[in-house]
Amino acid sequence: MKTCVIETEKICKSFVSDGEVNNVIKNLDMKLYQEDFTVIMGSSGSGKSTLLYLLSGMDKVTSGKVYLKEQEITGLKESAMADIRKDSIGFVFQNMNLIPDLTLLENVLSPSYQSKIKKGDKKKRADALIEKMELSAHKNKFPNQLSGGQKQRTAICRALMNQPEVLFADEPTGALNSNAGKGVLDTFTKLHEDGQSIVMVTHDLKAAVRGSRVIFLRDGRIDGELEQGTYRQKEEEARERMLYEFLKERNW
Amino acid sequence: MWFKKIRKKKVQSIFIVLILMVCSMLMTSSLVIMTAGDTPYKELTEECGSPIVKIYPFQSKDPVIAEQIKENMEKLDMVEQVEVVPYYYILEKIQIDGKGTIEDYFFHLMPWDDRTHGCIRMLKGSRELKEGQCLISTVLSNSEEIKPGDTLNMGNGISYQVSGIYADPYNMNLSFDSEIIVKENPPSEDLEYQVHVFAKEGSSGDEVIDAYRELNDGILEGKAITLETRIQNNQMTELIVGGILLGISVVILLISGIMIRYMIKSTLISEKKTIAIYKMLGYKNSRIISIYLKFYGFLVVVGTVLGSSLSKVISDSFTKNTFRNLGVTSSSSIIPVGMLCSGIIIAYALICVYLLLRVVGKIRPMEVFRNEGAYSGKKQKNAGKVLGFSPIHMAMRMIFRDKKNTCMLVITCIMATYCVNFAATSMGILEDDNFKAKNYYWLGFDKHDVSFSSADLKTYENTVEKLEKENEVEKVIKTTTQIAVSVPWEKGMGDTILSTMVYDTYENLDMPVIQGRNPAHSDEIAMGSLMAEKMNKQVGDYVDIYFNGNQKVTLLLCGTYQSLYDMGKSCRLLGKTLEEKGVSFQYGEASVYLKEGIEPEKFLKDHGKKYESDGKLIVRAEKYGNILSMISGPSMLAIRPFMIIAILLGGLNIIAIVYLKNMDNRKNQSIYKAIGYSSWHLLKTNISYVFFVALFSMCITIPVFIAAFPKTMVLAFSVMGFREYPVSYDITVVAISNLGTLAVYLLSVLVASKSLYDNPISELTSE
Repeated sequence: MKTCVIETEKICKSFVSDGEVNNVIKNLDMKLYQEDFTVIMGSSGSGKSTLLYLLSGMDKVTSGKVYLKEQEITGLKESAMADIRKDSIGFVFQNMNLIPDLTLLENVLSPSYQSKIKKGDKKKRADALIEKMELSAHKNKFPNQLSGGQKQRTAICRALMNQPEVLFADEPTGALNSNAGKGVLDTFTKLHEDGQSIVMVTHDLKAAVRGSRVIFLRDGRIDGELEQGTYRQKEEEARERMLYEFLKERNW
Repeated sequence: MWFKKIRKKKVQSIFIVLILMVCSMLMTSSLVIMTAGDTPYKELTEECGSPIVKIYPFQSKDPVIAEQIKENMEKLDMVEQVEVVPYYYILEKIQIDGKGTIEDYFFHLMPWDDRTHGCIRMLKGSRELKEGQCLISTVLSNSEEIKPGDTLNMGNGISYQVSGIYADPYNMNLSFDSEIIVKENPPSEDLEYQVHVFAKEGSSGDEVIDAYRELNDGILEGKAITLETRIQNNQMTELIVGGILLGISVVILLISGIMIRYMIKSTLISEKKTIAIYKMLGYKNSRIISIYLKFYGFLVVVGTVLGSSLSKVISDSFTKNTFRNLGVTSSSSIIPVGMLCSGIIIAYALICVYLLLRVVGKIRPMEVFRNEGAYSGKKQKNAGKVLGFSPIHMAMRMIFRDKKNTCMLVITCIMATYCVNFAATSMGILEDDNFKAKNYYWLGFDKHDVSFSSADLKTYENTVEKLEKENEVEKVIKTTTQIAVSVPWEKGMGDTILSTMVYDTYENLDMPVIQGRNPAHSDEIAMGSLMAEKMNKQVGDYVDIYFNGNQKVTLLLCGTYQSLYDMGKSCRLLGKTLEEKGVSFQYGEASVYLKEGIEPEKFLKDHGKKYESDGKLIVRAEKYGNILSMISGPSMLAIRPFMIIAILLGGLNIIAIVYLKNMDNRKNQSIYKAIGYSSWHLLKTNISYVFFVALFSMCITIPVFIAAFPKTMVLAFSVMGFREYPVSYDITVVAISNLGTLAVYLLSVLVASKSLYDNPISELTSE
């Protein structure tokens, strides 16, 4: 029996532009499970990134409720929400969003302030993550001195620093070349194998096949789900075909 | 295109307009204050046809001397008419029926003279005087709220009813001897004489006096007060206040230049990509620069013109009294001065803007596109040093890695802190009680406890003896200032008269000197350092002086000292010097020293009444109160707004710096929020950042200020011969003013950091 880590209850998100209300997410109910690698797909404007931000507590719902491990996080005060983002959530952005005036090591260490990690262990953990991502040689460099792939791996280190319940990733390979993108996806696969819960938004087929579960979004609603199971490299082609068929059925 | 930028950069636009508005408002108002009186005074002078010089003969009670001066004056081609006018000096306090007593000022009764008073500006009542009636100056009327119909009692059974109020250039300031015009002098044996000189058109008072001295071997047997000197003295307050405000405005203008450059620079950094796109589209550098130049030029013009227009509020509040005393209702026009100041500020600001906008030429599109959003490519010196992420750590990182911003903040804090300390310390010194408590130091007399001034010279010696016999009295030192001493005249030297302090002894008196000592022998003189320098004399040299204008004696210069008394033109002599040289004089004042532990106030309370008929006993701190008020009054008037403006400007600059920094770092702050930092944590970071920078700036500024302040003041007072400026810093005042400034800085951070709570993390996706 899978443990639910995030659950939504009829969540809606609307934006008002020039007096017109645009409902991006409409009464959406969904559950995300521990140790799952959930991929959210959908065409442009389907609301997938918006949904990711609502699930991760980065943005507020217009209505409805979001639960993280049975704790309702909608309506929490700013400081309580900040604690949740720090302790329970890791986020990897498409454009990395590293802090330019911090070194690689400092960027990785940055979420650890007042975290549950012991003071003496912070540096060790950061070094271990950096080593795992093969970035040790660059840890004193500033972001503008790193390649795209290195930046994104740094962002993953940062997101994992506080051992989050869920790692969210918004198009993590979108700004990378295919080689660097593959490296990042391998990292996600490895993390999933190690039991990390991941939620990733992507429109890249190669990225989506890495997930154990694919949710397809259309006009702010779930249009279909596909259970793929844990990724095995030798099954990649078969998974790709299956996913392709799933998407084709949804006119993608 | 440029106009849309105002909407996009609302806050920056408001800051630029505000800063330039304050600057232009101060500069215009300071110049208006300094020049506002020029035209009305000129008009009043022309209207009144007042004497170009008034001469007070040294032997004022001898009409023969006055007649001699008249005779000599009449020999000069430039002189049109000379008149000898008898006047009655009022020794008693004037009592206004039902309205109390006029203290501290000097008055004399002057009989109506058609030539002198025929054209004075009458503001109330008529020129026609009857027996028992008098005309008073508008400044006296305004100061003491005296109206026509009030009666002035001057002692000795003399009283007059005010029948009119007039204005003339010689009677615009109560700090100088003022005239009350009557039909005829009261019968008295003590009448004194003035000589009024009327010159032909085009001759000044100084020219007349120079010509007179040239004709009389450099000797003038009296003290000459020229019309131009009196007008200049009347405008002293406006000149001091205006000068201080002008100084502030120049400092603000310089800081504004830096601030505006900083704001534009941050705009150019944030708009680098936009500029690169313009360039890719084929826009020339000049076209891009012109877009920004029009935008900033518009803001500069709006701020400056607005400030100049609003300057009337400040200038009117300062010139109100002058205009009231001149009997003028309309205030002066700010248009010419405003245009001049606006021109200067606009030119300065636009040069600052243009010099910075030239950077546009250095922006290369491909570099921008390749490296967009990147931090400075330079490797940081302390890159390997990992700091924590507490607000303090993050603030320290900001300080070390964002050096330009930090430097801007340090400059702002240093300037504002210096100004605040300057104002607070000056206020501490000039504050009425402190300034008056040290009147002996500033005016150069001895530090005694109670001052006595005799009402009747005949009873003076008896009174001194009586005082000496009082149980509480330790000693009484006889003094006088009623001696005329002048130095040899040289062409262009101006007035040669020295105010003289004659003591029967200087032994064991607290009466500071800069060099040498006070006179101990009859052939010695101590001089104000200003006069000694003017005469090119040093301690140990012999100096020639004249008693009563014509009796030359040579004395040894035994010491120099500093004094604000008579603008530093004074000397100290022993009574026996005058006795030996055969100069007729009489002591009329005395310094009373009380035994230890006796309070002067208590002594006056116990014995004051007993001496009422002999003269005036006052606490030493009250002596020459009007002279000190003349110095401290206008300064205090200017220092308070100066302090407020300095703090406000410091706060405004901090708001601008922190706000722009928040804008620049908006994305970084969103990232911090995304990884679990609260807005409060980021706000604490900003507060810590400004706190540390301000603390650092204060640690630098306060010692520099303590070292520089006395030197600055010596420089400012050097025109009066000051060589030392002792300052005792009041730790409480310094601490309160600096803590207050720090509080304003931190409050400014709160105001500027409001945006921290606004920027949503979701912005991170919308790139």
